[in-house]
Amino acid sequence: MLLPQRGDTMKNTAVSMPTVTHAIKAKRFLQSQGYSSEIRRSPKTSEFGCTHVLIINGDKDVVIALMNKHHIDYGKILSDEV
Amino acid sequence: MAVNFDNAATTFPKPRSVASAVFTAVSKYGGNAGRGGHILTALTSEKVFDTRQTAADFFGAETENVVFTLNCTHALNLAIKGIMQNGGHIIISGIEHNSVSRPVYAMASKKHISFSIAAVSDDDDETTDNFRRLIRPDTKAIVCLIAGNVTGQILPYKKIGKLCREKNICFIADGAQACGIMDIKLSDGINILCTSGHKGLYGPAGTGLLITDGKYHLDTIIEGGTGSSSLNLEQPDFLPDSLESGTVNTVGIIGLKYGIDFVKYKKPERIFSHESDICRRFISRLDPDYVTVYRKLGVNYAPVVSFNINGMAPEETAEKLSKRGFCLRAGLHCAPLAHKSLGTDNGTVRFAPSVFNNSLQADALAEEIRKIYKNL
Repeated sequence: MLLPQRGDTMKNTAVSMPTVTHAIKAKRFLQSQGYSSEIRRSPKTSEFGCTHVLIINGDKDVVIALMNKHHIDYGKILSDEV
Repeated sequence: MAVNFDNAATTFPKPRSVASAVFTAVSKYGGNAGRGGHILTALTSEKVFDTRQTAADFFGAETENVVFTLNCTHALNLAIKGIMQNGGHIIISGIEHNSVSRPVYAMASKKHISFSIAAVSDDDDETTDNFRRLIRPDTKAIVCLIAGNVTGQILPYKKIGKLCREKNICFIADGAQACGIMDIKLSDGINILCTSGHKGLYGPAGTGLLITDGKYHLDTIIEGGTGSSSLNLEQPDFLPDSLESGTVNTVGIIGLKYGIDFVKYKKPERIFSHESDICRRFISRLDPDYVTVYRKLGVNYAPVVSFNINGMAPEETAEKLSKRGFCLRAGLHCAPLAHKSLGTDNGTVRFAPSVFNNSLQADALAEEIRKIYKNL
């Protein structure tokens, strides 16, 4: 399990989610791996319209790798846009 | 209080936990799942997800591949029309419910598709071969029930699933009479499982499930708001939203979780055994001199018994039993193909216990049937 370690600099990673179902699934998965996250609506109108965004307390490269490894679907990585 | 033996239509009573969950849903989870970002919608979305995950675990699917529907008929329509929208050939069994035969017939009558009906034999291998013989190069799907709603006959669904896998054909299974009393999993060879939530899963009426392994794309037959990709005029192409347009039945869905949890706690095989014991007891109390039971030796049955009092129309029998406090369904049970196969053109009376019935109730029913016959 990839738990945040003492001395780590906590960063936020934002990813868009295709549906609220995917968002909750990802949130619960990340929670099981030691990462807290929050589901929000997209703070601005995305290119597709209404979207759920997952704000993850964790380094982008690490959490994205973790989601990829466990086949957790997500949309677009929005870290720089939040 | 009437005794309900019409549980193949919908189970009643429901577990107390389901009733309690429905009350909580109405009083607490009033947001519109997946729409907006406020606290009410977020809480409701989480509860709907809980049910989705519970169903996914129960049937061995990915969470997002569980689609909530109004009932099994709705799920079957989404599956059949979703697979067959661009034409092709489909095979159904000779004992299908109208939830399968009508959408297939409707598409065929508009020349969109063609279909064949595989006869159901007492022998499982023969039934499987009957399906195999009907496969053509343009066959896209086989759709059949797992257990029949008239006699309860269990079809060799795992063998049919294997056949479909070999031939690269989509297998759509109607689990309405099987889910909750049999351990059904997508890994049994089922590509798309359709079932009701309000029968063997003990959820509220107005709930159903379409569960897919994701191998076959389903075109949509209903489009609309999903709370996702709203700028796009095209329906989202990802599950579950592609097949879940409009507000879902949050109250029913939240209740359904507790129904599935109840079944998991009781264990489907134990429920099957309990209900089958009641069926055997009921049959044993019926005198074959005046009651015909539509069962054969060597055939596997789910706990449903079709019978008739000789010389009496099934509706008349059911009406007399209703006046004596027993609820049973009579007629064709929306399955004319099954009655054609069975040779019961006027229908049957159907005895369908649930986990809440017991053998003493079956004894009492059999005694009332005896009295009705003696008064003929």
